[in-house]
Amino acid sequence: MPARACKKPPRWHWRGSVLVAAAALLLPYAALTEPGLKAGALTRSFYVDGSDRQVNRGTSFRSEGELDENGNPVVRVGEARVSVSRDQLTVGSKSVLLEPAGGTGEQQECDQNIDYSDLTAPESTARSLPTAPDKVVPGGKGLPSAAREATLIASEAEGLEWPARGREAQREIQEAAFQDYRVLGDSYAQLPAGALGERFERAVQTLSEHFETLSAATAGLEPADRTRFRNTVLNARDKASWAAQTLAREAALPNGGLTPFDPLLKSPDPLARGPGLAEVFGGPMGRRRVAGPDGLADRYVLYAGLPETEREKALARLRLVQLPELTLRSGGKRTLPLLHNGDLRAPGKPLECSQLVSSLLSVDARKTGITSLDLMAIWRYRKRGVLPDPPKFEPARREQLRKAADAFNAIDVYAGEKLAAGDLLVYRQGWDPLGYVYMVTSYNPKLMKAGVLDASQGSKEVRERVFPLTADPPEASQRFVRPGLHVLRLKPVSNQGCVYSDATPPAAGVKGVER
Amino acid sequence: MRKLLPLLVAGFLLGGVVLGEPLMHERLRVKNTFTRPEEVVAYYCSRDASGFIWSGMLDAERRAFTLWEDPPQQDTFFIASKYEVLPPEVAAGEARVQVRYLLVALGDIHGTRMPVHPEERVVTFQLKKTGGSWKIARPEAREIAPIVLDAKFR
Repeated sequence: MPARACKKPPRWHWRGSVLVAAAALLLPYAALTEPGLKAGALTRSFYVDGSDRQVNRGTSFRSEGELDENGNPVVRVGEARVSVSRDQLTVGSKSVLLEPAGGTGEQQECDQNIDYSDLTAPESTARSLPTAPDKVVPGGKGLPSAAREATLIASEAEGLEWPARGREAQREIQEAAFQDYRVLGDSYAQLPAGALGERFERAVQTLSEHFETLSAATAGLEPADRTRFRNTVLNARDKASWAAQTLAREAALPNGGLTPFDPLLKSPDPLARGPGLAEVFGGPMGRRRVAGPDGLADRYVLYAGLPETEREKALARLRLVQLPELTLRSGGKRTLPLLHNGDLRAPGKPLECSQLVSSLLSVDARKTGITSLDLMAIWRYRKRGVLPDPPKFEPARREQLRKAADAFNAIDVYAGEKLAAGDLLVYRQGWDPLGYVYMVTSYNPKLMKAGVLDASQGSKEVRERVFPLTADPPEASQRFVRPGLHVLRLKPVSNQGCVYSDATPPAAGVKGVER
Repeated sequence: MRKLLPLLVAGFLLGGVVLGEPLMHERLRVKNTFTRPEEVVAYYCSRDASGFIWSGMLDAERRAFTLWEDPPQQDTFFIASKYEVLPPEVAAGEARVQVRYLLVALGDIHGTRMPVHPEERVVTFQLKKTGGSWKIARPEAREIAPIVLDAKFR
């Protein structure tokens, strides 16, 4: 067997975390090949997490050169402890067998038996595709690739949870909205037309009062939420008004405007009574639609049309409702029920990280939460330490964003950093109001294509699609990453931006009546 | 004069919308009773100006006034000081209506503002007559950005 060269690593300037990744892949190799090494007893520690002093989980990590309290080396992937023995790496309950490259004593005699000649410095040109990460592993197998495997396991253990959690959170919201709709619609099902008309009239009156209250509120609700709820309440009021007029008009027609077949066509929607109302409230009110803007407006109509005593009873059974105490311009206070689609956060509660992710994937939630414009700013803040200007942020907003930014690490695809499952891919140009946020479920670095979850239709639907990072074919000598990509990776530890709570399911904030 | 009265009334009602004056919020309509394409565009722009497209276009409204399969979905918007709906070009069941906006900024509901260049933006709406009603076909929902009036959306 030819002896391998023990070359010193070439010097290069640090760009992104590519070199750290390279070093990290090589260090376990070096450690395990030290002479006299016993199983389970390494001499180095490796830390992989998303905290400030460390590098990004999943794609890059480095040795701290420390031992743990027992003198054993430990690899950490986020909060997961990775135990390392001579022949296996274990992350949580998952293990991977290590295959020492060559596995010969000849290699173990050489303390630095790593052939660095395979390493290629990353391209320094921004937006061109660096090739270094693909060439880091000597021999293709061996401990460095095992370390990479361990990293992938860690990604699977943590990163891949997010797509599933995102879907689960949306399902919970849809289910809650659907149940709320049924709770409110129960007493409408058997109402005669005259009584239904009265309810629509009552809804118009109640919702007009709601609108006035929201307009007069000076505290107790975020201004952004206040504006959005005013629009929702106005839409609901206009729908109820239209329905009342339509019902009155149809009542004046022979047979109430019904054809002989209409009574046979039972609508699952208690409000879609007759052809005119079906036009307004019709359409399949399934779980997806009921958690969208239409479903929310309809729940408002149902709620506001109830007699006051029934309203109180219904409130106790609703899941997607908050009862904030609003301070009015007059100085008085009033508690107003706010029906929502799982995107109104209970004040004072720390934001759970899965909720943060769900809110960033939903356009409806982003409208009054962290927008794609904010995410661009957060990415730059994480890269450069300062928020960009422009855009001009309100002072309070700047503080909110700084705090929110602590939840993420910025991944720079233009510097060759790779996407990982669970990353948030923000696609937006600063000057354009069209912004998109996807969650990465997979990434093919050769094709430069990412599998993403697209929830751009709010709570209605989550689609899976392929997002190419470049328009250049794989065989092109230079492949340019499309502009406007900002990748954010959630830190795997609690931080100022969000908290992890295993006891709290992803959408726990939407459960129960938040008063 | 009697023949002109309905036109004058319609002109009064639509005038503010067409010229983008700060009226009250445009009320929701779920039935398209407009007979001219520019009325449909004026209604859409007025709803948009009040923030109703940004906050979430309703399905009934989308079906009545557009051929879109999904509503526009954006978390930020342009902010305009005024807008003007220009006269339509109509031919063989299709119409083009341009709307000229004077933009102030790009921003979001939190008060974040970003300068825009150029300040004038012209949106060309293409409409088709479907089932006796003019409906917006283009721009497509995913291509259109909400544009709210600074005076209305507060």
